[in-house]
Amino acid sequence: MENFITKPDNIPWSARMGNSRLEEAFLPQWRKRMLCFLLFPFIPVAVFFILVGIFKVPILFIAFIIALVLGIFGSTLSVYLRITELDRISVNGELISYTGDKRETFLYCLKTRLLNLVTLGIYWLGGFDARAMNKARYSRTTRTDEVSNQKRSGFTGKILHIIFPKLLVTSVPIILMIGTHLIPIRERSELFWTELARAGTRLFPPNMDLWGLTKALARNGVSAFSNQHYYNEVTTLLMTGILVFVACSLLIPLYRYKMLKWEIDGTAIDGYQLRFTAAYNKYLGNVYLGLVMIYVPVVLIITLMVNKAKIIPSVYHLLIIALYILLLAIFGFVSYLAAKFRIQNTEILAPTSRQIPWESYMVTEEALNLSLVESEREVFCEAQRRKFANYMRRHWTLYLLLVLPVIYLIVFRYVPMLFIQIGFKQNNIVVPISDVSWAREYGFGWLLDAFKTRDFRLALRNTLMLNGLDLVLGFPAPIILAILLNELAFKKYKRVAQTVYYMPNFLSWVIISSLAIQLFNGTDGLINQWLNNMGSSGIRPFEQNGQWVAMYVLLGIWQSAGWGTIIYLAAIAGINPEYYEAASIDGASRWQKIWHITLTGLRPTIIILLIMRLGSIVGSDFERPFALRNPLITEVSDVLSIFIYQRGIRGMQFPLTAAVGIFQSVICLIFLFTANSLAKKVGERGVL
Amino acid sequence: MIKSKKTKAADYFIAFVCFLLILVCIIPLFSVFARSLSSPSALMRKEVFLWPVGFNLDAYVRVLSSNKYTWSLIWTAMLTVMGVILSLFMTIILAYPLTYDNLKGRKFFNAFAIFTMYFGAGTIPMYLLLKQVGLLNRWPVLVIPFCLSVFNMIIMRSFMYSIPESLKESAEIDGAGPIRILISIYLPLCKPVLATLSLFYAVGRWNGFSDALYFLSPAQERYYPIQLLLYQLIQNVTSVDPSQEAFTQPGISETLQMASVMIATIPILMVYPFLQRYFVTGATLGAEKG
Amino acid sequence: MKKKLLALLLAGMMITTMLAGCVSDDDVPETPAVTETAPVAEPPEVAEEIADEDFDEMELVDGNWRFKETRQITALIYERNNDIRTPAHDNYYTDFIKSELLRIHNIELTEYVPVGRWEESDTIPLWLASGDAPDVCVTYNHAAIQEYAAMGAVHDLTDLVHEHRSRLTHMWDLFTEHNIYGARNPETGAIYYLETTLANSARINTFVREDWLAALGLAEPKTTQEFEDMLIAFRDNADLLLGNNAARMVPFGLASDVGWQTNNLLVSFTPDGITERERYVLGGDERQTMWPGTKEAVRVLNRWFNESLIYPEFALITGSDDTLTNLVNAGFVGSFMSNWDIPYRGENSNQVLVKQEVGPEAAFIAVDPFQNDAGNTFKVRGGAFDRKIFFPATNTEPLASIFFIDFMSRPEIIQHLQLGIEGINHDIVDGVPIFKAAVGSLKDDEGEDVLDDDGKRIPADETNLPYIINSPNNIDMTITINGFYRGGGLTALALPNSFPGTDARYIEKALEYANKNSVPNMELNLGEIFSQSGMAEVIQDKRDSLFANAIRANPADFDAVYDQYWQEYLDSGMQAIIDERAERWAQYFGTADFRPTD
Repeated sequence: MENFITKPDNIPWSARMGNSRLEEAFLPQWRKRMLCFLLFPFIPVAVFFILVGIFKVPILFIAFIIALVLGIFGSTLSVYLRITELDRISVNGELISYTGDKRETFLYCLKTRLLNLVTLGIYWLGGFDARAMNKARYSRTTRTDEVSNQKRSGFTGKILHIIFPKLLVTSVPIILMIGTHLIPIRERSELFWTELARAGTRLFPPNMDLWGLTKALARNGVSAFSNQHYYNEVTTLLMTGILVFVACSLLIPLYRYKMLKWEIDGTAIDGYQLRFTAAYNKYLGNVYLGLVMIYVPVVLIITLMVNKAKIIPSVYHLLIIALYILLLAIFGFVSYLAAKFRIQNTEILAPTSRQIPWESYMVTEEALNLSLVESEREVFCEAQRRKFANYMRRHWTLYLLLVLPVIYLIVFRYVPMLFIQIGFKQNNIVVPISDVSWAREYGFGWLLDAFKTRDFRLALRNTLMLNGLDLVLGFPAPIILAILLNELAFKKYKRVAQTVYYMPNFLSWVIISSLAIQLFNGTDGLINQWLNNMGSSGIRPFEQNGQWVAMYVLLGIWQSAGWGTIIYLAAIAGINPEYYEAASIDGASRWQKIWHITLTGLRPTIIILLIMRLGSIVGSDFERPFALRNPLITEVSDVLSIFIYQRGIRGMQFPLTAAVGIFQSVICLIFLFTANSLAKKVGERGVL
Repeated sequence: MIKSKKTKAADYFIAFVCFLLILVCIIPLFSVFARSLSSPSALMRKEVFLWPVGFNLDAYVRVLSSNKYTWSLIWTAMLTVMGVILSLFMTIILAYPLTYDNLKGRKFFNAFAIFTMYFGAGTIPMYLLLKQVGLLNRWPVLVIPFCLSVFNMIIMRSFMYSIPESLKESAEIDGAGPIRILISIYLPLCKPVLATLSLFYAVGRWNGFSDALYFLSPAQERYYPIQLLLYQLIQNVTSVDPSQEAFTQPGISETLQMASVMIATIPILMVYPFLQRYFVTGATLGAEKG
Repeated sequence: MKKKLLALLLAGMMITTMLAGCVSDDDVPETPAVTETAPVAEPPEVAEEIADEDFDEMELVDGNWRFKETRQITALIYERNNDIRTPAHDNYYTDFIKSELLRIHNIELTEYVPVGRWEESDTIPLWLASGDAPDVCVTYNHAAIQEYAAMGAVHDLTDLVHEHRSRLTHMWDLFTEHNIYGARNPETGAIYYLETTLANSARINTFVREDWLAALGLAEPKTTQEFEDMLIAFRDNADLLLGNNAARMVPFGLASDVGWQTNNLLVSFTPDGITERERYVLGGDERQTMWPGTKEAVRVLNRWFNESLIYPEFALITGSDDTLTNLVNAGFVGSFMSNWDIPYRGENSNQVLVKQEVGPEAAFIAVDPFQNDAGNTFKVRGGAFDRKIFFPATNTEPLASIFFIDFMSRPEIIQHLQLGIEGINHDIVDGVPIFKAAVGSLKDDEGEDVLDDDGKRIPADETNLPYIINSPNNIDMTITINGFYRGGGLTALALPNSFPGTDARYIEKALEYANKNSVPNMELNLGEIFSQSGMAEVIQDKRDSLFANAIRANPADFDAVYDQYWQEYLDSGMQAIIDERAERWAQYFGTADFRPTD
């Protein structure tokens, strides 16, 4: 392979070096690369699935062919775009001319691109095992397994539950491949090979019957792949396909730059030298980040969609995707850091033997790489160590204080919190929670069933309505009451009033509801008797929905307002009295004093409590609606906590309780974060 | 200072509004008190609202005079005091370090605490954990597991933010370490919020009974808080067979229910007036220049 | 620019196709077609009996099977913490059981573990999860035991019960095959719990004030129309019957659980001769709401409500609210319907208090007016099932536990526990046991309880304290039976005289009417109904709102309101339960209307 070059796609083409910072030069290039990158493997796969999944193209093969054609068109286009770039490289602002043969490079790039496309095709075909398509019937086993088995037989079930673990095995080389890019080149090649060999042994079981497979292929074409008998062989072929794809996409970069030739001020330089390690690593990190962030999840979602089963991937898949993203995000980020660091500290470099005009920057790969790595590490660590030492000298006691509460929180809050996973599992509290099998619909069965019922949607609406009204009417009440008390002139009277206001908080809601019935009762209620002999028809809060909501909110305010004033009174106590004297000297009226001094003094407390209140917008207390409800107004009174009580607690359905609880908590957290960031924008300190 | 006629009229108007609110809050409680004093037959006929009918005290006698309940009252008071002290201590040592903005990992600890407010897992895991820790069926289970409330920590911390920075810096210049600053500057200034939180924790412990219900078996009845005994007393008197929904044991339950509310409420009501002393204003008066 | 345009075009195309994918029609799962499979005839196969000679763990000692070496078990006991009581887990009766069990079977009952009667469904799950549940457990909670079984938290008793069938004679006689196979899974044959026996199957009765009938000269109502005329008569003569409280007159007392408190009326509108198939398929709601004819019955109630014959605020009496009880005790309520013996239960029962309030002649008498289209007062009586006995999975001595159940099914043990000791708990008056409180409280001269400084009623004589029976008929101790043992001996005669303050005449009438032309509760187990798990409370709630809204609607738009709430009642899960039960019946009995009486 004398002029063995490949798609120069991850080479920073128009890297304008010298004084302009690399980022500006690099970014447009990168965006273009990503676009081409998306054209290449992604479009054919998407089209392939859409054809098969949605438009129900009967013959598997035709769909594959169409996708292949589209893939070829996509890759030629992207390679063409790449080649037109070759002669627009500028170094130090002046264009450098491309001396290699464009046509030859174009052909070669296309060849390697197609090679990759074919391996990718096999990769998806293997997963696309026909047996998975016809939903195999499973016999009825115990209640819990029967449902999960049906799920496994669908197409997505097949690919995700059987192919995926195999994929995981081969992903080790993929991860290594990315990892190796960050280790200096010399070590990189050896490490990769050893790892690849180890992965290989797991994939080539001795009882391989390849000859049988080829005969079957000859006999009935592609559908042989779906034959149960040759299942292992097909998967092994698939895996080798991946390995080839991995090997190509890794080995090729090592030799590709020799082909590209430029000529700068008389000295010939090939692509290999032009590469800038810092930019290269950073670029590579981001490309692979892009690869995973966009490519793997989108393709997975399409496979689910094609099966029209359930659009929501299970926790299991989310974990796999999250693992991919996390790993590659870390490598991408580390490479970015390394690159940035290199760019900032290039001046400490001693120029090596191969002197090139723009001596301030470009040296050969090895020299640059080696010298950079050792020096920067020491510099970095030394500075950090000194800073950390004197920080700790002043603050270690604070951490000592924190030790006890953190241990408390871990033991009494986080350890029981592990049990919360029962929300995604079968209803079993006897077996240790980690062995309980996942619930239907990849763990989201309980929540999906709840959403399907009309009662849940009704309960959600009621919770938001009642909590919303509580927030709008109930939240300001204690503030107004606190200010009123603060303005009260007679000290003794104020103390008595404070004590009386927070008394209603001690009545349990069962007693309050019996009092309410006695007061607002339709026929012999005291209020109605008084209203009747005043001529009006009386109020029916326990029969009409609207009136019930009004009573519910008013009783809520009556019970909790007194209690709320305590916090605000404590906050008012913190306001400096001098402000009041100064204001009264300036002739401020009572109202102005309240507005400008008391309220501004209360502002931080009000904002904190508002954030916390918003943070429980979907949560709902249980006693109040449960005590005040009756069969006539269940339309308005049933909130989420009653839904959980009736179906979860009384029905012994522990996962349902946990699942709806998690749903509530997640929504509350979202509200909390938004409220908190809004508070920060307004300039307040916020909660988090 | 001399008040103009207009402000004096406004003061009286405010006093009148406060009086109206006092009535609204006190009447229901007074009705409960009246019912706890009236005879069962009067209650049956629903003739009691504000004034007791057929005055008798046997509900109170029945509850108060038995030493099982009196001991429980004393025990719950002791429990509340212990609970408040431990809770305040934990809340302070969690809130104070988080007021240092330059503390490394402040954001992490903050999120670490607030996250636990949203994702609790219910009684079963707590029961299993307490069994492993060995706290089950022992009286400390009423104090230790639920001593720290993150909501109260947030309130305390937001109050601590309002304390001017200059006080802390001046102490640091004089070479005071963080703990000395906490003890000599922050705690004295935090009296209002300490009073508030001690009231919140006291009421929470006094009224709480579900933790005793789950984590103490009937054999440890002497450690039951008063609210649980009253809950069981009413529960059994109104023992409801699932199929006889509407029918409870006749009459005496309502007087007993009202009496138990009064017995459980009066002690805690008395606590608040003592704490009001600490709501003194202007604690940071003159400490800050300029 | 050209390239940029092209790129945007391609990106756009990709996104639209992706979105197109999501909008596809989500296939609505088709309702399960009733599969016409052949009915499953033969019952699941059963473990065969172990012969006496190769069963070495026990030996036959004077007619009783006795373990060779002592086995230890623990059992659960309900604690009601009444005012005057002995600790439920340690009193005369527990010592009696422990000593007898050791003597007869050489089983040592090391400990009775107490649990609160009303905290049962909170505490038992905690015990099962943490593994410290006692070896033998009893629960009232039907829904919970289904879930415990589904979780695998309980022992499978099939082998135990069958391998020692001939040795567990008492259990098989008392429980009978109907109860032992009550909870058997028809396919796998697994028995996860035993259904204990309900001795007295009387369920619901209608009661009327006897003195009001006499005062107005009315005969005992025999038809629904006569009952309605009686209610109208009560309403119109309110001032005669109640004097100055006339405004508080409530001809027919009702609370929010309308299904239970008008059950005999609802069931009387069901066409005569309802088939077993209908009773099973429509049996998801145990208040018979699904039975045909409910709408007409509710129309009658609606008419009564609009003629103000029913307590207007009935819908507000929910949970343990005792408004209706107070009205009955105050003497304002003319008639009501509930458990067959409710007005006579306990020392200060409704009967006793009404006599105090109104006068000695005031009393509640059972009536049976609601005739169906065939003219007989058709109603539903209790079945044979009551509480459930199960062995948690942590039970290491299942054999000893099953023999403990057999021991607790012995008639002489049950009778001694139920009767207590002659002279202390009951007196024999010409062959019939008359019950009395073991520890009468010391009364001062005008009959008021004398309270000691402890606030408790002073026991008449200290010696009888340990013999107090803590629960009615001592059901907490006799876990295998609820109600007096009817198979002979004194307890068979005990029922009519076991209600203090009410003479036997009322009890016999109540017993007779509660069982007259009644059909037992449908207790057919064709495997677990999955769509019913966790739905008991929801069904109750939807039913209450159906009845409450339908009764309160004004007669003009009664049909519209009824159908609206009926549809909501079905959609909340009831329709799914009916479909599944229909499929399950077809699977076992094909299209037959009645079970083959083998």
